[in-house]
Amino acid sequence: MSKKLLIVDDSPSVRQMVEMTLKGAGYTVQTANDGQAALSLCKSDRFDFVLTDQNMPNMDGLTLIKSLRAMPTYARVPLIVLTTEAGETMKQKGKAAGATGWMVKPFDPKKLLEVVSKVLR
Amino acid sequence: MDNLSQYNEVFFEEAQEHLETMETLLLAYDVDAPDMEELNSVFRAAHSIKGGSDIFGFKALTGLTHVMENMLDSARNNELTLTTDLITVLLETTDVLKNILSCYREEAEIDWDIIEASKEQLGAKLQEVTGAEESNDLLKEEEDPGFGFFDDDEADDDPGFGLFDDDEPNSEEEQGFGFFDDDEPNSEEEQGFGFFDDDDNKQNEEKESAEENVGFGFFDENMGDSKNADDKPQQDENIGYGFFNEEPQTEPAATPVENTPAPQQAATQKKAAVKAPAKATETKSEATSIRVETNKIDKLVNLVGELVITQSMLNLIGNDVGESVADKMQSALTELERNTREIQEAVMSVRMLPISFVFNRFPRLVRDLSTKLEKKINLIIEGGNTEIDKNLVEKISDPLLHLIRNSVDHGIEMPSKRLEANKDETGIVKLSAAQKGGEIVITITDDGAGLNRDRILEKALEKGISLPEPLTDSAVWQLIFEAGFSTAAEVTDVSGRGVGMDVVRRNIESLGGRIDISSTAGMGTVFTINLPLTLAILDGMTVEASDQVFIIPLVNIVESIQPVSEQIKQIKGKQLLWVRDEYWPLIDIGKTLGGNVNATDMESGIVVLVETSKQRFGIVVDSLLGQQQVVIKNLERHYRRVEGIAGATIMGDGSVALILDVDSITQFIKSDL
Repeated sequence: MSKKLLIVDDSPSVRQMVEMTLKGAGYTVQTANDGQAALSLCKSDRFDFVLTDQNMPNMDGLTLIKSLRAMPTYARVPLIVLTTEAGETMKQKGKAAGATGWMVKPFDPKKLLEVVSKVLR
Repeated sequence: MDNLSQYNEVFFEEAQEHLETMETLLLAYDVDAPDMEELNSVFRAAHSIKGGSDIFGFKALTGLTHVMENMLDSARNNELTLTTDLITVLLETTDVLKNILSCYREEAEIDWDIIEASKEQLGAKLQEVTGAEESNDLLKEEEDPGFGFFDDDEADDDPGFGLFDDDEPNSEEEQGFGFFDDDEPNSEEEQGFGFFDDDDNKQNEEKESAEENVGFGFFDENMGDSKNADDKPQQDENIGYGFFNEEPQTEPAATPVENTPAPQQAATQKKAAVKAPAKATETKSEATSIRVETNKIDKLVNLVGELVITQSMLNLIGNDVGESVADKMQSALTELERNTREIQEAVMSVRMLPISFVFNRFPRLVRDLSTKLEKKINLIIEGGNTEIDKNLVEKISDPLLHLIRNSVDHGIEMPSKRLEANKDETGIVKLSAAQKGGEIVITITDDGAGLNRDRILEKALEKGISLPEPLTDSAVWQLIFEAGFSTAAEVTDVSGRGVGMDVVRRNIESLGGRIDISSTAGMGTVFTINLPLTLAILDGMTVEASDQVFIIPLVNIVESIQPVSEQIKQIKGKQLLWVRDEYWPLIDIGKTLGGNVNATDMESGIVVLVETSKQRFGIVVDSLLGQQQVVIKNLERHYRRVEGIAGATIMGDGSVALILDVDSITQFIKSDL
């Protein structure tokens, strides 16, 4: 049973890249193009890991993480926020929102797989 | 796995869309009443291009979008007010980005000088507006994480990940990344991530080395050592991701360092936190759309064309099928015909794009031009959602560009002149599109001075252009399409009316379209372009004349009649047909195009009444063969342009038939008979 991952990003090219990379590594991947879409997916399905971009239309990454953490099913699921700014403020917020961690854009497929395997260990 | 180039095309498309979004929104941006939602959308577009270009390695885009993003971020956080000046610079930057993008697309050389210049220009503008301090701050963020991606030859101070502190001098070296392996605590490799683990109780030996060399750190609530705090930034430079984890981690760990907010955060306060972006104005229904390469669709269209021909072949054969199966055969053929038509329509509609794809370029053009010429012009766009074939989109864009330049440069007068003429000093250029029957009609209207008949005639004589007879206004207007014709008092660098107008007409005609002008002195000029809806297939009436098969486009046909002798009148030696209470000029196709010396016997022949936007007339043929869809094969490509013929097609029996161009046949009316 391969792990189910959810990728949330409003950029189709990044989404595709991440999706293909992870599928290539044998994970089951679903994608959503903003926080809102991701949240509704999470309500009907359980993912083992969520990787979300921060800047998105309709609902940003941190809001999504907050909303997910409020759901019992997602209390302990690893949630990683993708951000281009890993400033202190951002990290404080990430932590406060309940993120498991953060990952800075840009990343390459190798680094991505690295993070995912660490998290899902 | 590491080969990202497969996503390039997706990225290019996406970036292109973002750039267009940016341009559209920036153009619409009201500096007096900024729309926060729109600003957010512009910001997100810049942000997405930055992120994507960085991941996929299109560095030239990254740096510039980054500066842009900072500026927009300040604007949306109300730290900076966007002035018209700044909008102009942002628009110029968008242009530069578009150029960079097409360079990447075409794998051309990137002109870094231009990029640097744009960056500097943005910086300089910012300085003007905000004072030096602020702008330095904004520009400086370029040294922040977010780009400088594993690229040894880039001396970007930027590791590209995990800087926790804005005011930290950055390490000059590019970091790779690495793991915290038990046996490699002092790894000098770049770390791509870090863990913040509250329950970490790892030994301290690793602390120093880890902090100094490895470049990652763990944060623990119960640590408050100032020394560590000093070390912290240095470690953080190298981190690409991290975990805030309440659960124990199995990773080897360095000493946790306190996440002290206060001192360093003073600097980060400037960089406002990202607010939840407002609802995007664009609604992209990605779930229901898919990007397909155009050549795949073109292939489909060609196949459908072949299918149409095959289907007409079967129809022919079906006529000779023996009694026993004839009925079944006929119903199957009818079915096939319907299906073929539906497939064809479906495939065609895939290729249709809203004409706004072309129109959206023009607000910018008009804005820039009118500024340059010191004119006041308001561009109105109507019917942007009219759909046209993708091939047309690409080809119609240049002629339109030329015509609009013309209207701005020569049509609309200077504000002072307009006031003298009791007009509003702001001129209006209207661009509209609509679908009428089987045609797309695009008009470019200006309320300027109108064409100057005398000047045009003067010029024509000067150039030795032969004048048409009779010298009606519309005939005079057509003169400006003659090669090398220009009435501009001095040829400006924008356009000389007439310079290239011949090219405009040629381009439009090569699309199977035509262009007309109407103009009233002092009131303005209207250019009307008619284009066929699609370029590939049309519904036609097959007719026979002088043993040749011709096809008349169904859209032009009013009706077909077998005239009786009372209806045929001779006026001034020309035959006219009296029908529907009016006289219709007649063209004998067999004689005009079929090379037949003898005129068709009117009483046994059939007249197909057609109308174009310009006039109505009758086409005399021997017989009607039937109605069918035909695939248009371009005649110019294989032979040359023939007056009166729009193209050729392959019939069901393999023979070639010519498709009449009803519009250009009208010229034979005067010379014929």
